[in-house]
Amino acid sequence: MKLSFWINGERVTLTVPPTRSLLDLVREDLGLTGTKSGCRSGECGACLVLLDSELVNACLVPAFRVQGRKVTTVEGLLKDRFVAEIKNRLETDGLLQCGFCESGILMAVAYLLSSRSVPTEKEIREALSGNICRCTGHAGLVETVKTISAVRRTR
Amino acid sequence: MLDEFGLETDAAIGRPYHGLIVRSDAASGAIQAIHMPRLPANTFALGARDIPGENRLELFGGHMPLLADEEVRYAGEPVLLLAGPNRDTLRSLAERIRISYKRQAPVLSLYRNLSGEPFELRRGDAESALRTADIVVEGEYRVGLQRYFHLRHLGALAHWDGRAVSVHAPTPYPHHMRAAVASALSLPQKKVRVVVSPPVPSSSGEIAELAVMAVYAALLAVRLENPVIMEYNWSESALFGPNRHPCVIRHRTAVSREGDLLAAEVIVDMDTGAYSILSPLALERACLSALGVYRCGSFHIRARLFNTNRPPAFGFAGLGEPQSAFALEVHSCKIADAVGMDPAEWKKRNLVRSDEPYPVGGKRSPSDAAESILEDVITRSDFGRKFASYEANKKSRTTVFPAETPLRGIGLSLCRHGVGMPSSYERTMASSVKIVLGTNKKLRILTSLAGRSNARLLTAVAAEMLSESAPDIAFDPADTAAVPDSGPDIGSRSVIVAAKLLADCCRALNTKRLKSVPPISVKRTYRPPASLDWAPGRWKAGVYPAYCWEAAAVEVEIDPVTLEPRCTGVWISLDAGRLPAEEVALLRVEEAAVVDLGFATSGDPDHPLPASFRYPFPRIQDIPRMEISFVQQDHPGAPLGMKGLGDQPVIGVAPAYVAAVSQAIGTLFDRIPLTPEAMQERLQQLEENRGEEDE
Repeated sequence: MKLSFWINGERVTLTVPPTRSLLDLVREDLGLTGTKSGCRSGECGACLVLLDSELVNACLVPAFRVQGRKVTTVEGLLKDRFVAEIKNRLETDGLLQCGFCESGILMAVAYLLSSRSVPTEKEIREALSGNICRCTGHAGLVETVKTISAVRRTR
Repeated sequence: MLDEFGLETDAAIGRPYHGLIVRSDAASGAIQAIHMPRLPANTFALGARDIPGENRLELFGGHMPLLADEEVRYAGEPVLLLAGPNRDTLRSLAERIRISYKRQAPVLSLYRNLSGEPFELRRGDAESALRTADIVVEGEYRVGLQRYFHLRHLGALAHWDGRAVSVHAPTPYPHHMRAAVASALSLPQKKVRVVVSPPVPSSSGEIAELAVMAVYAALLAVRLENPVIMEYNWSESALFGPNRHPCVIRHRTAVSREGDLLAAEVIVDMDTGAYSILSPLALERACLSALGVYRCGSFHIRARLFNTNRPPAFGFAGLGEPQSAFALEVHSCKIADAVGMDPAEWKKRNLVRSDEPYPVGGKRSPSDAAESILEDVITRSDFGRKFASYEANKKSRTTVFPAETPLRGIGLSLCRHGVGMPSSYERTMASSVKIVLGTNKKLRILTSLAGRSNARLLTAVAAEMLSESAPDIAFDPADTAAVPDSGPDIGSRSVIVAAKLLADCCRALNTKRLKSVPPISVKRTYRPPASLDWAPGRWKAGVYPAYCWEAAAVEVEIDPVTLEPRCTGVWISLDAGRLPAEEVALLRVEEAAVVDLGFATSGDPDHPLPASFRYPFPRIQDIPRMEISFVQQDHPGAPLGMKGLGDQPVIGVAPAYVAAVSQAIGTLFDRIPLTPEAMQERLQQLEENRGEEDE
């Protein structure tokens, strides 16, 4: 199956098997390994990517769905200075240990802050409810997101 | 080559082949024949007979085969390895391999296959004390199978250059991995190199799990003369990765009318799964913490390992301590109830005092803040008032199935965690750290302990020790060919061993550089102090270099119709000595508390997980209100006054939760996981018993 789509702003054309998932397309065919392969069942949020402007678990999306659409992975998102700042802040606050959940959490936080500049605690918890982290706590993550949004607001 | 998040198994060294494990579908039986389809080009299969060296992995007194040879002992046991350039081809090939077995009925519960000699600790005449005591309290406590649930995949990448093997893996114990690979390949250790690829997990169970993957990848890489990646997926990790030993622990305790604990008989029965890797260590740790933090004149502790036809337990964080802590802390509620005391008062009365000996070994350090953390949790949770109110509600109830809305309860626990390894194991290792001060004034730290948290910790220690002229600090890559063996990175050993060695190195460097000019190198090797010379019967000798202390209170509300519990508050206070970064410790403690709560409430030890399982721990929107605090006191003799959080910083939430649910419902529950179904079953049973009594 031949697919033509945009990946992180670049147009690509690939031939892939019809059963390919978006996750395997991104990682194995395009070598963009920032998107992680976790549970492969939509449970863990390690493989979050943007499909056009929608946040999706890449493991649950068949590759053929990307035909003619825009896919943004963490590599593409990190070109944005604000997202890079989010990453630095997570790291500084000790929220990144093994790093496996990092790209998914970055995608979820950036997606939240793109639509809600000052999210409430409930909105932050809901936005991150699809992400799993087995290394660090969650209260710190909520506080960090609050801080990021507060800092951005003051600018 | 690492990707931007440091995952070595995402890297490409040339074009690595993939490895795949063909597993047994029989839980017990003899392998009769293996029928192989024709293998495509560049695809190879490898069985136990193809292993050039030992078909055996050893770790901390336990061992297991790498691949099943003539018999299989659990469903999912690795029988063959496949490797080739295409993972999909390997998967379809694996489906076409037929293995025939002479099947046997599997043993899936305790008490059939005793494994090895029982471990026994006996002091004084506990039997006589139990015969003559005013009050004897008995209880049997069960801890089900608990799975670690890695989020990320664990993996290893091996490369053979025609003379030597190099392995890249995120192992917490690279020198053990090197020895395991060398033994299986029948190579001298100098021909095996292990490079630790961050991020590094820090759990005892992962040492074994990753070592097995490294051996598989190396066997295949040598055979194929091509790099091979061996990786567990999420299901494999959950089903065959680290899981805690299921335990049945019985307590029989003699208590005076005043509530003093006089003597104890404890039987610890542990399910080790099909093989006993890490189990001797887990069993010893379970025994050492069987009486926890309480005074006890005489005791008889007997512990036994049983083999069952389940995947090997491996164990993880805490290794035996969480199971013992659960049993003892729930049992202490039963004792307090029997003597008519509030559990908090009973704990305070029986707590080993500062500088007093523990029953099983060593004495309590004067720097341990046990009373402070207990008092802190009692005050913050308002334990005394709430316990009395909920107790009054409980006692005023007249029916087994309570009607008031909602039911409330509060539970309390007090635990200690051994930091580092027990001295009997530490003495068998020779862990070292080296530093080199270069001509450029840069300080290189050479240790096999990798990872962000270790780097942060050791940087803080070096900066403190060399404060007058703090140089730039850099870490050499954790590569067995270049850095000394610093031992396993578990149980806060990095604090108690590596940080101490680094501090010793820095002290020596401070002296040396008065006389010499750089480059100056210093290496120090850890020897446990003479006071840490514990063995059964040597009760005065210390067991661990330090203990981290934890007090926890959990409050619950339960729906009287569905028995669905809801945690309304969790309060935790810890003494982990001085903390160089309290905010980082706080994150780790919070995660450990969430996981401990998950173990208390979900999972089913009697039923294996289906292929499409769900994440068992509370997610961010379900996490109850948690208040975590630290009482920071310097631990004497340790760099920066640190002790570390131990192998698992939180093990007291599960018993406190069960105590809270027990109070809310009005009957003592004695097992985890404690699900609404289990509560319903118990209440049904109580009602039936009451009906029989009425008749």
